[in-house]
Amino acid sequence: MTTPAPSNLVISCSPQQFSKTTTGQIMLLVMAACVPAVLMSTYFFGIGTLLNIGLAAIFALLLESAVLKFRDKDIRLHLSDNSALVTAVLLGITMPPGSQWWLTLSGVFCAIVIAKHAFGGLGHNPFNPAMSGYVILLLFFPLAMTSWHIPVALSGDELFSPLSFDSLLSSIQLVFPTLAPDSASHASSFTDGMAMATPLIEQNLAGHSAIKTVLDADGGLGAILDRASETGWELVNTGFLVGGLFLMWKKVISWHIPVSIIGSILLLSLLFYADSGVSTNGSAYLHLFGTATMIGAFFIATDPVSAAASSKGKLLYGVIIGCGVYSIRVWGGYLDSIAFAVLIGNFCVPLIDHFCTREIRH
Amino acid sequence: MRFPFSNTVSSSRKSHGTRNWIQPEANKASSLRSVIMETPIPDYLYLALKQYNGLDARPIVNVGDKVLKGQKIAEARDEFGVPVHAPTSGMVAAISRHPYPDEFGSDAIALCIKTDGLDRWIPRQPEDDLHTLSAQQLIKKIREAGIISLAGSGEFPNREPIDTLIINGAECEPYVTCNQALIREHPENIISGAKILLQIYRAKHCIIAIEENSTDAIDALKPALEDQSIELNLVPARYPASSDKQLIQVLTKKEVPASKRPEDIGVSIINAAAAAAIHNAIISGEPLISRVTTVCGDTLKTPKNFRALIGTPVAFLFELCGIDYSRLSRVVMGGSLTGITLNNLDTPLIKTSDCLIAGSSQEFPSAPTAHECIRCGFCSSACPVGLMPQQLYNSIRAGMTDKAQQQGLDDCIECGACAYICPSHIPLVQYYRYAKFELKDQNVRYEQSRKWQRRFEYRQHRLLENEKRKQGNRHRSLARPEIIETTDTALENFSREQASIEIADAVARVKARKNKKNSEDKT
Ligand code: SF4
Ligand code: SF4
Repeated sequence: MTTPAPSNLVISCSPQQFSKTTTGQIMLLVMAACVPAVLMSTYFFGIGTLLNIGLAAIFALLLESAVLKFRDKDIRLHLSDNSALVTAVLLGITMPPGSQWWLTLSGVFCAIVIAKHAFGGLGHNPFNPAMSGYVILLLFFPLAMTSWHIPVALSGDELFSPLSFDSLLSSIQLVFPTLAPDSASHASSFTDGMAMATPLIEQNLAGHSAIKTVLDADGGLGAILDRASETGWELVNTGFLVGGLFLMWKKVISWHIPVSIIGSILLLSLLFYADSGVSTNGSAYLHLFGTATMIGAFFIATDPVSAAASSKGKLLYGVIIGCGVYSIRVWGGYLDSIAFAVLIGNFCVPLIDHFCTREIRH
Repeated sequence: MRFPFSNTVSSSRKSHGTRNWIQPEANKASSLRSVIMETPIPDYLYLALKQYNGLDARPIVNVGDKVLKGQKIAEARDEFGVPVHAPTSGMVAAISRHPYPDEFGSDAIALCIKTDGLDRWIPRQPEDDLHTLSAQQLIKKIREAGIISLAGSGEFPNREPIDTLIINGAECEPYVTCNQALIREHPENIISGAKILLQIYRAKHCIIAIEENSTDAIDALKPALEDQSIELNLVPARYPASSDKQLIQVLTKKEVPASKRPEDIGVSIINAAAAAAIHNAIISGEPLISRVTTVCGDTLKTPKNFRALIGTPVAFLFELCGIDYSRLSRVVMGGSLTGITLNNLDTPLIKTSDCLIAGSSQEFPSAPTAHECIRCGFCSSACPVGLMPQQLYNSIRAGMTDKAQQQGLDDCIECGACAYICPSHIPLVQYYRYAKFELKDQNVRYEQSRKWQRRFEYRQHRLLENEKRKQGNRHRSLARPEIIETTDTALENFSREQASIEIADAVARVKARKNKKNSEDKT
C-alpha cells in the first residue's frame, strides 16, 4: 500500500471550493454594459468619447501601475481587478468628448492617484474616483470642462457628420492640438463648430422631448436616428438604461440605488413641474432622459466601494443623491448635478452604514 | 466572455428567505447513482472516543480483550454523551493516540480493534411492541445505541415540548449524496425512525425535508408516505438549506433566535441518517456501528456511496474506489464548503463523517489570491444568518474583535457561503474563526487575571488580619481591633504605615553608616 506522505496533502480552512466569479469579471461586465451608450454617443457626436475612453484607459493603467509600484504592491494582481479601467471608462464618458490629452491625464491622475490610492487603494476610497476626478477638473479648468465643440467638416456651415473622415481627423486634432497642420487656423474653425452640453451637463431641460417631436412629426424609427433631429441625448440615456438593466439582471448591481435615485427624481420633477410660464423646471421625462440621470443612477452611484452597504442604506443613499441631483439641477448653480450629488452621497455613507445595519434577533 | 452570474445566485422566490442563497456547483453526479455498497471489513478499526462535540467516552475494555460486533466498548461520561460500540468482532489491539478528523489535524485517543473477519454479533434485543415503551425508555435506548444526530452539531436533542418534528433529508452541500442514497434505498427505515420519534415527542407535525431536485429520493419516499401522518416537504436546492436553523425557517417560517436552540421554539430537527439509525436501534436492536458515507473526488475511478463501519481508515475506502495516489492533493471530510482537510490517510471515519473527497489539484485549485474587498455586498445577500460579512471582516482586520462580536460574529455558523461567493476571494471564514478564537482567548485570560487578582486581594486581606491580630494582642489594654471597612483602604493604610516605618529605619541605617564611615575616615 503506497500511502503518500501526509506533507503532500493540502491543508486548508473551509470552504474548499470557490465561485468562479472574480472582481475583474464584475468590472468587465460594468464596462460591457457601457457599450450601448458609448455606441450611441459615437454615432451621434463623433469619436470624441471613444478617444477619451481610450486615452483615459492608457493613462489609468500607467498611473495605476506606477502607484502600485510605489506602494510596493503586486502590480499584476491589483491590475487584474480591472477597477482602474472602469474608472477610466466612466471618466472618459463623462468628460467633454474629445477633451485634450492633458485634461484627460489630469482627470485620471486625480481619480486614480488622489481619490483612490491616497486613501488606501481600491476598497478604501470614500469617494467615487471618477466623480472626484471630474469635480477636481471642473474646479481647476471650468472652461475646458464645460465647452465642447463638435468638429465640423472644414467647409463650415453644412450639417456635420461625426462619422465622416474629416471630422474623425479633426476630432483627433482636437485631442492633440499640436498634430494639426496649422493649429491657429484650426482652432478658429473649431470655434465655429457646434457648442454642445457635455455628458454630465444638462442641456435642454427647458425644451421638449426630441423623440416626441420626431414621433409627432410622424418620422418613424429612421427619423429618430437622424442626427439632425437632436434625439442623441435621449438615445444615449436609453443606452445607459439598457446597460444598467443588464447589470441588474446579472446581479452586479442591486435594484436599490437606481430605483431610489430615479424614483426620487421622478417624484420631485412631478411635484415641481410647471408646464408654462417662466419656470424651467423641466418635465419628468426630460429629467430622466434628457439629462445624465441614467448614467448617474446605474453606473456612477452604484460604485459599491463608495456606496452604502445594506439594502436600507442603499435606498437612503439613493434618495439623498436623487434629491441632490434635482436640487442642484433646478435651484443650484452648477450644471453637473450628478457629480456633486454623488459626492454628497459619498459623504453620508459612513453615517448611513453606521445606522443601517441588519438587526440580529436574540 | 463567460457571464458569471447566470447560475450562481438564483433569483426565483420559491421559498421564504432563500432567494439569495448560493447555488454552488453541486458535483454530486459521480456518486449519486451508485447503490449503497457494504464495505469489506478492514484489518484495523480506529474508534475515536470523541465522536461528537461533547466529552470523550470512557473506555470499558482493556487492551487484549476480545470484543463482539455491537458490544459496548466505551461509555458516556455524562447524560448528554453517547457510548461507542465495536463495529465488528475482534480484539482490542491498542488504546492510544491516533489521527482524528478535526480542523487542526490533531490526534485523539482511539480504541484500535484488530478485526477477526468473523463479524460475530453479540445477542441483539429487537423491540417487538413499541407501544409498551415510554418516551423515557425510548430515549434511553436510543442513547445507549450510540446515536447522535448524524450531521451538524451531532447532539441528540433532549426532551422538551415539541410541536414540529423535522427529519432533515436535504443535503445542500456539494458532493454529499449519502442521505439521498439512503432515502432512495431505505425509505421505510427513515419513516419508521420518524414514527419512533413521533411517539417520543408527540409532535403535531412531522415533516421530512428533501431537496426539490433529488427526484429519485422523492419517488422512493412518496409511495411509502401514503396514508401516513408524515408530510414530505421540498426545499430549494440551495446552500445552506439543510443547515438546521435555515431549514426550520424555510419550513415553518419561524426564525430560531441567534442564542436559542430549535427546541426553544418547539421544533426538533434530526438528520435522516439518524432517523434510520434509530429504526435500527429500536426495531432491530443494532447500535450505531456503521454509516452511509459518500466517497468521491476526481482521483477515484468509481466514486460510491458506502455503508462503512465507523472507524474505517479513509485510505481503505479510497482504495476500494481505485484511488490514483499520484494525483491526490487534497482530502476533504465533509462537503466542499464546510468540510475539513485531512493530513493523514489513516484518519478514521467518525459518526458524523458524511462525505470523503479525494481531490486532485485540478478539482481543488489552491485558493486564488485575495483582492481588496470592493464592498459589493454579495456576501451579505448570501449569508443565511443575515449578517454583513464584509463589516465583520473590516472590524476583524482593524483588530476590533469586540466590535465584530456586536455585529453578530457569534451567530456566524461558518457555513462558508460568503467566502464562496466573494468575487475578491477573501478567506472570510478564516477571519471569523480567528476572531472567535481570539475572543475565547480574551475571555480565558480575563477570567484568569480575575482569579489571580482575587487571590492577591485575599492574601493581602489575610496578612492584614494577622497583623491586626498581633497588634491587638500586644495592645489589648489600649485598643480593641478595629473592624476593617474595605480591603482597599485598609491595605492602603497598612502599606502607608509600613512604608513610613521602613523609611525611618532606612534613614537611620544610612545615618549610622555615614557616622561610622566618618569616624573611620578620621582615624
Ligand atoms: S463579497 Fe467579498 S468583496 Fe464583496 S463585499 Fe463581501 S467581502 Fe467584500
Ligand atoms: S460563514 Fe458566517 S458570515 Fe459567512 S455566510 Fe455563513 S453565517 Fe454568514
